[in-house]
Amino acid sequence: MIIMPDALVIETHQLTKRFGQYAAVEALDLNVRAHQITGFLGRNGAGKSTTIKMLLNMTRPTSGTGTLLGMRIDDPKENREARRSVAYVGEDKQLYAYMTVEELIRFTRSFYSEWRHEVAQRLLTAYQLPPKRKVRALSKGMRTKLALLLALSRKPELLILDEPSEGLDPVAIEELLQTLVGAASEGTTIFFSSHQITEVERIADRVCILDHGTVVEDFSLDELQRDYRRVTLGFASNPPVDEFRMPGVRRVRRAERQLSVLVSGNAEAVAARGRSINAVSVDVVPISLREVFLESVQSGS
Amino acid sequence: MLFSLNPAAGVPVYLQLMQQVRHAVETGVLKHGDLLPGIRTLAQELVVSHNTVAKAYSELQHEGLLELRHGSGAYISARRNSKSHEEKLRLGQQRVRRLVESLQEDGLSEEAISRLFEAELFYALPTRAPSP
Amino acid sequence: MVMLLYKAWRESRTRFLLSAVALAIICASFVFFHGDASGGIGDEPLSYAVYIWRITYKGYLRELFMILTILLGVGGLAREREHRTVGFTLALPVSRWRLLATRTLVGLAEVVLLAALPAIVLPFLSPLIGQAYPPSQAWAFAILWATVGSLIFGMGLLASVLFAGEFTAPVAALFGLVGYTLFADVQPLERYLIDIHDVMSGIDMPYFTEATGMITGRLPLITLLAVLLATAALVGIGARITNRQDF
Repeated sequence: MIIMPDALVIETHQLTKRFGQYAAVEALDLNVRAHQITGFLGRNGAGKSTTIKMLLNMTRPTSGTGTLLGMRIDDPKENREARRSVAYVGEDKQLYAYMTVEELIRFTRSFYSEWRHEVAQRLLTAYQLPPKRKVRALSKGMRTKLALLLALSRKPELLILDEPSEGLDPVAIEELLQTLVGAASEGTTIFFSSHQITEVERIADRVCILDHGTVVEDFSLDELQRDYRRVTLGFASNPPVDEFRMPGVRRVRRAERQLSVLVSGNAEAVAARGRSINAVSVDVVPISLREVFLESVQSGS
Repeated sequence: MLFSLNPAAGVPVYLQLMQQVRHAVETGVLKHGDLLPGIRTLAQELVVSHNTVAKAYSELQHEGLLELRHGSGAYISARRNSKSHEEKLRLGQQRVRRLVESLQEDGLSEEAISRLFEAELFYALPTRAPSP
Repeated sequence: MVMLLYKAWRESRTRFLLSAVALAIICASFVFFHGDASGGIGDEPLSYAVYIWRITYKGYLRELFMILTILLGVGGLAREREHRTVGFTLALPVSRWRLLATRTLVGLAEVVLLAALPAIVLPFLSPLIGQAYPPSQAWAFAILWATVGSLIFGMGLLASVLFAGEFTAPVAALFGLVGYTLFADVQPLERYLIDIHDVMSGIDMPYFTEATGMITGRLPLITLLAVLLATAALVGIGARITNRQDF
């Protein structure tokens, strides 16, 4: 039986954004599938926000192409059509300060024909948002909830969030993650950028790691947990780094007479190779998302 | 049912979920007919992707341990002999693999290992308890 | 669309209301202090019409009106970037052109209302001090002011697109206005560039008689049309620039 993969909700091809000489996003090839929660990890300044802004036609790419729900991101009209089904919660989390919660809901509702009033009402109560309070009098946590309410009341096909947990206390973060999980289980595809690894590790199905504007890793959490391993090999003499140019090897680091090999699969083969060239100690351990992230973004290769 | 999931354990989370359900059934913590939360509810409770829960439930249903009834939830379907024969074979193979690997690490050759197994199975028979 | 108009209104409401109140109060004070003021410059007392003209349509009220219309042009996406709501607005499934157009519509409506204020206040209050100011005069000036006011609003709008700061934009527009005024006085250009101040006040204009302080001829429709076209051009340029900007 052939299982067709879910459609691509986001697809970019060599997407680039330069500000003068500086490339915020460089030849980015990003693929995000529907019906999953995809985490977009990267350091500050890695290009996550710029990428998202290009997807939403807020920023124009210098070169390269991309599609959002199958529609071209550099065509204002197509992108506008896509935005009907895409909800966005930016890192700014600022909403019109002068409007009340109620007024903002009424304002936002007018743009979307698929608005679900019952959902908005339910969330209004669940989030305990006072309808008549002005946005400027809301705390950051409440503004985030309001932003989520405005996003989820449309039952969007895709929800894009940029650093959603920024500035939130742990309880609020927990509630946020639960909300995202709930929305995903109802069919909304979630794409969120973060530099909080714990959150991504918990709820994401898939992770893309961005460094210096380009994707350096792209794997599912299952793959990470099942296949990614760190193989530490100890040698009695100088370790031969070149012996480990094998399929599955992502990174080889040397520390005196030891080699640390990060593999995305095939750990046994690497261990066997090590034994075959007389490694005196062979250690295969699982590797956390944090470790993969740090290794991906700190060194070159 | 309380779950304890570790995303850095080197085992996919959905497998951890499955193992914990199986273990609970084996030890009697979960009994035949017990109701597990729906996929969405459990996902939100554990704060994991619903795909993870869905995969675990789907596999458990495949193994015959869980019965998913539309609308009412997921019911434990534990028979007296909780592991099916295929299941026992699969688990047995995993244990054998691990044992063989560790013996190889100690430096034993395949031939030596094979002889050890033969000795145990065919020659030590009278000293072992009969199998059920 | 309606909600965008509402948004533009909410975002300019305070400025507009304060401006309207200020203009109304000042016009009212012109009327009520007529007794003290018309002693004027030496010999003959001025006629009421000339007095009103000098103090309202020629005087500092005109400059105030211009500054207030520039301020009405403040706003837009550049300002939203400062307030950090630009992400929310741009994520809406509306074109940037529509955002600018609704803001322009509301702003122009406000400019027209401000221009009409003296025409409402002066003829209404003058009888209270025993004077009369002809509504037809007031409305004629209102039309002149509304048209030129639109152009100045256009300058404010374009400045708000180019400059982000809430003070930088109106100051830049003011520089632009002053710059244009100076240019329009320079010899070879004087013939071709419309002196918008004079259009508003009537000085040196064929439709206005300074001795009586009244508009006597027909309003200069071609000039007004040119001004409106220039306004449209400014808005158009603002739209093109907005469409190309990165946020």
